Amino acid sequence: MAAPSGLYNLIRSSVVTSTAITVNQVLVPAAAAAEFTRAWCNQDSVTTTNQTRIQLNQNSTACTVTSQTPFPAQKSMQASKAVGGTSATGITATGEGTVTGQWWQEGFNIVNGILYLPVPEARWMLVGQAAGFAALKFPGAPASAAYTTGIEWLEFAG
Amino acid sequence: MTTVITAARVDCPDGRVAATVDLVEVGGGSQTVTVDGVPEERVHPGSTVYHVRFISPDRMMPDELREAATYGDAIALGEAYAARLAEHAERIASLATDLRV
Repeated sequence: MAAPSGLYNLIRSSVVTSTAITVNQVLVPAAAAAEFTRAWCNQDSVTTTNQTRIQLNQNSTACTVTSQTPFPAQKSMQASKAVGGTSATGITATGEGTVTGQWWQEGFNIVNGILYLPVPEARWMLVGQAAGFAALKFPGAPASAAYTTGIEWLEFAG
Repeated sequence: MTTVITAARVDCPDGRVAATVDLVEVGGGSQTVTVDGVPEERVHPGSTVYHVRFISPDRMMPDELREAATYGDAIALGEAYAARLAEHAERIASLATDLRV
């Protein structure tokens, strides 16, 4: 397998959320691929126990999001091909895209949060295409709290 | 019958890829909302948009993604960017020539 061109993440930092929305979206464009190494969800505003779910989806249509640029792991790294855009890479969907597949879903207690850290053999890989979206979504409305969510991926972009 | 152009590429005069154009569908997904304690599935409206990706001349700088409503607008954007890239390439080439001692 080719060497990755870089490690990047997209973090939605401490945003009060109480509705079932996609919180992070990554567009993996044509001529690139992404291997998802981590995803997480936790919060920093409540101490009351409550259960919710989060899922990592593949979407065939874009969510309408607030544009955000992926952050590279090193300063001297090439820029991510998953560029920011309202129908590309970003956070906090105001319109939902069509979910075509689901790689991971788990329930968790919001007091503890959850970390998805697959073994290398089980990492989800998304080969780029015009509509290659990875989306981290609350499938049901979570208890209101200031959630921090993130996705991290290795990119193969030549 | 309708033919829809879903992808295209705009090249610079020297053959380098300046921009790519892709038709992307937006929305059409669903969201579960609770109304009076009862979960309700709401389907969001769908639309399409052309993504025009301006390929960065330097891979340390990110590409720029612009949106266009029609294929014609998308190609016009891509061609305008290709023309700017070609102008800059000429300026850089002449600067390099001037700097020779």
